[in-house]
Amino acid sequence: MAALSTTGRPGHPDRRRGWLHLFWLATVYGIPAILIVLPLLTFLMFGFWSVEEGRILRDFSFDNYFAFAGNESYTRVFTGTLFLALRVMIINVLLGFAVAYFLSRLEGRLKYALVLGLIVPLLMSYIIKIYAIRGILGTSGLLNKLLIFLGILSQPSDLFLFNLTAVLITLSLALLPFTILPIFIALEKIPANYLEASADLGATPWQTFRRVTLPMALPGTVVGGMFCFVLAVGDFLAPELVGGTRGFTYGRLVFSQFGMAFNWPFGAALSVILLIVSLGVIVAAGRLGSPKWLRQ
Amino acid sequence: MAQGDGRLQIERLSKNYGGVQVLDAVELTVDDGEFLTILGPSGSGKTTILRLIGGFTEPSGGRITFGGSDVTHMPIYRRPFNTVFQDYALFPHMTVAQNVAYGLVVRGVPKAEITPRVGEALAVVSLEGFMDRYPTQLSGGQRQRVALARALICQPRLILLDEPLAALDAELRRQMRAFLKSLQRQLRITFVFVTHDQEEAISMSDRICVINQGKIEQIGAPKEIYYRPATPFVATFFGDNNLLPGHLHHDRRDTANVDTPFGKIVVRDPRVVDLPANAAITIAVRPEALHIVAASGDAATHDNRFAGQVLSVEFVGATSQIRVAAPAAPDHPLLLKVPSLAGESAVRPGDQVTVAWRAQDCAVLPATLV
Repeated sequence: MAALSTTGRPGHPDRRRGWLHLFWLATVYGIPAILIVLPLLTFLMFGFWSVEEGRILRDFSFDNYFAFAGNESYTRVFTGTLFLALRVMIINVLLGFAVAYFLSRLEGRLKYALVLGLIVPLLMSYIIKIYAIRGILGTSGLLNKLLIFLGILSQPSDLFLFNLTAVLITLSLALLPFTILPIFIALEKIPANYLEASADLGATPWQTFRRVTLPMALPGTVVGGMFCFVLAVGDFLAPELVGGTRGFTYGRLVFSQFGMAFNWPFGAALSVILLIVSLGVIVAAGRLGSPKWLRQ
Repeated sequence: MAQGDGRLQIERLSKNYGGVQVLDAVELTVDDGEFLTILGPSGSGKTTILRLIGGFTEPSGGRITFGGSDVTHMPIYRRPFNTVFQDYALFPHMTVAQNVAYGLVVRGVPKAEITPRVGEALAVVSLEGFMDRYPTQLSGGQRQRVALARALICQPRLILLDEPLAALDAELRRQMRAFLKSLQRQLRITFVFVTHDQEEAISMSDRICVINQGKIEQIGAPKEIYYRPATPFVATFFGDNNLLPGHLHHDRRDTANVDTPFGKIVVRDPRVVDLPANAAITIAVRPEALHIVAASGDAATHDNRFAGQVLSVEFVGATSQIRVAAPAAPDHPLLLKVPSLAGESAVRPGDQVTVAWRAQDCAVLPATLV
């Protein structure tokens, strides 16, 4: 049997395997094509159209992109949001690294109980989390009460809600687990042996951290930072719920085009710009996150 | 660090992990420039000794001194020792040159000095052309040599080696054995080498420390340990041995008669002198010391002989392993190793033979079989 089939004649079983193969190919490539690529292409197309008197005009033009680039209030929101996401990322990478490092140094059950505690919020509804944070940030919220209790404030402050700071705090809190987990996994994967070898060769704990731990955790840290940036830059729910009028972001701008402004083509064009930014960040992170030694 | 005297001294060193005694009051001295092997089965505590010397683990009790100064609680990075780890622990994010330079870089040695020293260290292990490779691009043997160069560049007084040859194939292991030994002689660095492989231990060491269940069984030169094992464990862990229980009868100074299930056996071992008369002892006889002789053979060359029946004959290449049981002691079949020579008249199971051996081939263990 085996000797016969190796001759490669297209017999009956081979043909059946062929159909099965086609079915799998269709599933593997077809589902993403229909569910991901097709909607993206639709968006791309919409971005070149325009709206007149509530009707979509299907004339190809770059007007939407020119309109965006030429309007300072749009570009200001755009750069402001990029900086906001950047700040969220920086805060979360620093905070996330500290937490992940602390977790990775723990031992036994406590470590995994705490990691589980990080995962639980990821399973909760995003809206519920934001409302919870909003409750904490408000004038009668936990944060104000705590600051008054500690004597730092004499009366409740409205600095923490309905502005960009509120968006910054909310996004940082909501996205922190996404940053901690990849860093934690990267730190966990560093064998204790390397740290021992480093100390054995005369490195102080700080030198070991800087020369072994940090570079080896870098790929995971880049991934954590990337998650954080990409999720923050496009988010519209958190700014919508805690941003108020002063906390306007690019995500809300896109959202408003599909809602109040009813300008789907312009919204689509703005989305495409966001997509390009996000893709750029992902590609850059991919480069940074796989240094030469990992690719060998 | 004290110059000249690089003696490592371990005093009553103990370690328990969660109530389990891994090391029990270990006493050990390693001389400057010595190649000492710590040999033991897995779980015997040999790696724990190494980790305590290196500073990777805190002892539960006892003291470690080096060159006269106490290093028991000295941080790892201040100890004048370097370690070659079992899986080499080369930093994957650094090239070979960066790995080797590491010990100098963290000590703040100027760059101009580092580059030539890295070249020298890599030359010692014949890896000059591999500077820019990453560890993943090297074979096991090459990684091993990089790990060695990385330890040597720090010019330590003492190198700790944790089963460094375990991951290599047999041929490479033989080569590395000779290389390590000659390197150690050349550089006059103290080597503390941990292994479970007795052949490795015999071929490389100045002295061997045999450890079992957290206790040192014997410390001595390879030949001493081979021919004069101190305990039944050493006698059987180190190659094959026939162990015979018996009671001692003092005769002359170092020669004595022993009552055994095989009858009276004459032994010659200097250690007999220190033993009380009628002490319960164990005799160890190497399989290669036993010979099959003609029944009417010359009694002068063989002090001991008995008649028995061949139970089994196993051809294992260079030697054949023969088991012979005496009618007086059917529970203690003796193992013989005889050279397999073509054309030699073969012994067959069931044959009646006479087995003989010399008194000086008997090692007297001042301990009974457990």
